[in-house]
Amino acid sequence: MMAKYPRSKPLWKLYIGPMIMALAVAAFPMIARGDYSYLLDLGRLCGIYVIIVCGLTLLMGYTGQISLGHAGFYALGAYIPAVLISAFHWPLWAAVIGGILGTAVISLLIGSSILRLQGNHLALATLAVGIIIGEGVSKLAITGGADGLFGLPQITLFGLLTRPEVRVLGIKISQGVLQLYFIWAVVVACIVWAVQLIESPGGRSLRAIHGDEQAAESLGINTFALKVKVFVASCVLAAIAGVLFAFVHAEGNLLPEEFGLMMNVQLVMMVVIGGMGSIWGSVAGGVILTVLHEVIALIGSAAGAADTSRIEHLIFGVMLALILILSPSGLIPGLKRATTRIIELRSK
Amino acid sequence: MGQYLGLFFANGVVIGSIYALIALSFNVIYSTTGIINFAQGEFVMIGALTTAWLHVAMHLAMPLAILAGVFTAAVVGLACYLVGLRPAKGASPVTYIIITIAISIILKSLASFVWGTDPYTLPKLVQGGVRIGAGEVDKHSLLVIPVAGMCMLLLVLFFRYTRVGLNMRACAENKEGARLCGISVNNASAASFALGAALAGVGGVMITPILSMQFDAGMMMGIKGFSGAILGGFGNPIGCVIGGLMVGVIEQFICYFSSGYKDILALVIVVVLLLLRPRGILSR
Repeated sequence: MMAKYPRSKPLWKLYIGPMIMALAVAAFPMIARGDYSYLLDLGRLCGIYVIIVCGLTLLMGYTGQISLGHAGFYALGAYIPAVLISAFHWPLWAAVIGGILGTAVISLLIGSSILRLQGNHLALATLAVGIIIGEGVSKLAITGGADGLFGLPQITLFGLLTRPEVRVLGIKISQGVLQLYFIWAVVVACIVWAVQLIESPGGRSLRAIHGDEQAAESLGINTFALKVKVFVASCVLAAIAGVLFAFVHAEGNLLPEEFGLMMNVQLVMMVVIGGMGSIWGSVAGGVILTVLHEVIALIGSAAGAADTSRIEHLIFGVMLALILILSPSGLIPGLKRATTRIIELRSK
Repeated sequence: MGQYLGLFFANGVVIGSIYALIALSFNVIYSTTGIINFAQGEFVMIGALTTAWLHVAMHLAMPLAILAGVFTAAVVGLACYLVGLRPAKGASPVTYIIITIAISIILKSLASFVWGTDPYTLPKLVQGGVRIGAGEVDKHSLLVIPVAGMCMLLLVLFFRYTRVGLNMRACAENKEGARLCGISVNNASAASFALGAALAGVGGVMITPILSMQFDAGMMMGIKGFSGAILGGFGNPIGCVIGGLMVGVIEQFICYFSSGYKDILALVIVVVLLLLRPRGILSR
């Protein structure tokens, strides 16, 4: 089926990006100095957000459907398996599969109803869904309420991730680094999938919906079905990120703060900062915002401030507004344009 | 529950009439500019906190404090439009939504630096209560209903008899046409933001003695008002009032069952109604 259509890019061009990224991540622990475990922590968190933002970019950037509620699905991915384990004593692997499938089913139900809405209505509905789930997990008794769930098992990959260090070809790799590699392996897989999708006929249909939904419909594209598919796919990616957060990054201790109202906004911000129309922009957006968060916290604690969240929100808000006003296509395309302009001016 | 029915209904109408004002303030901005302002709730908070701060900490007389609070909200609303939204002219609706979200975050954190993170309250304008069924409703709360009604009446008069109001309606009707008639769409949009923010500020001042107000309460207020506007149907002021009242009443009845899940269940109902009647409950 797919072979009938010409690819717009040769294969090597599609995969060179993910490969470079994989190499960069592999090299990261060797380059990183200083507070090592702290940097690993940061690297893992970046990877988790990049997975969500990757899906959200497909939905918002390519299909043009806004979602202000993806933190909700991120929460489902973390909490469904956690509840299955803590309340129903499922084994970890079954709970994780159950969590991802459960999120897929829930997002299918929600998506197939609310994606009939458009624009402002869709924005409100998705925001409402995000708040409902986020508030729900912080209030329900079965999810531990505001105290969260503790002592959940961790993903061990057949014991690989529990060892303090592993030797590969004579190189020692510590546990934290292995966890980082594991998360970023998932990230690379997600990005390969997304890049593949975008360059396929299906991806072109998505962009057609963004351009003009009625025109796409008239070309024989089942726009509604496609929108629901992308919505579910992006929710599944968010759920995978949730699983990685709960069972690798947070080491089995799950708190509802991670999935609050601000997370919904932060995810959208990552998409916007990177540039709404590019997968690589979403990688950049996820990494930039996560690193910035840590930098602000570091500067704040060095300056003796106890709570940096308010100043952080201020900085994020100003950044988001400036980017949208000055360069609505995102930070990366904006910088690209600015540099080409400077080069043009120089050569004159 | 029977004997409390009247009480819940009365409380619902009280809170609902405030939501109705916020819904109207969304509508004023939306019909003139086509922008859904997610920062609307922050105007509620700014109006309320300015008034409370002036009255409680600065000991300014109540009427002056209220005027100053509403005026501040209007000025902030105007500034938001001029600084944040006018420069982005011609952006897609999604971009506008995200810009207003950014503005909302900025205003919220600025407010936390100006007024701190503690909740503020205002004294009730009138003391005492009225028995309804087995419970009692504050006289102050009941005062909210006629005040909100009066604001709506003023709004009607404004849109019918003043030049600015007529200009705004012309823009809502047809921007090109308005421009051809020599109406400045830019000025009308700026005016709609000032007016919308002022209305939201009035809502904030009225709700503060009942529920208290803090820097991060704006978002939820905004969502409730927005829900009211969407339930009633954007562009339909009467619908906005009915929608706002409905959100208030629904919320109060949910409170009877569980106050902790009030916001969640109210939002669930909003989403369901949105799916059943996407153009608002008054639509055919």
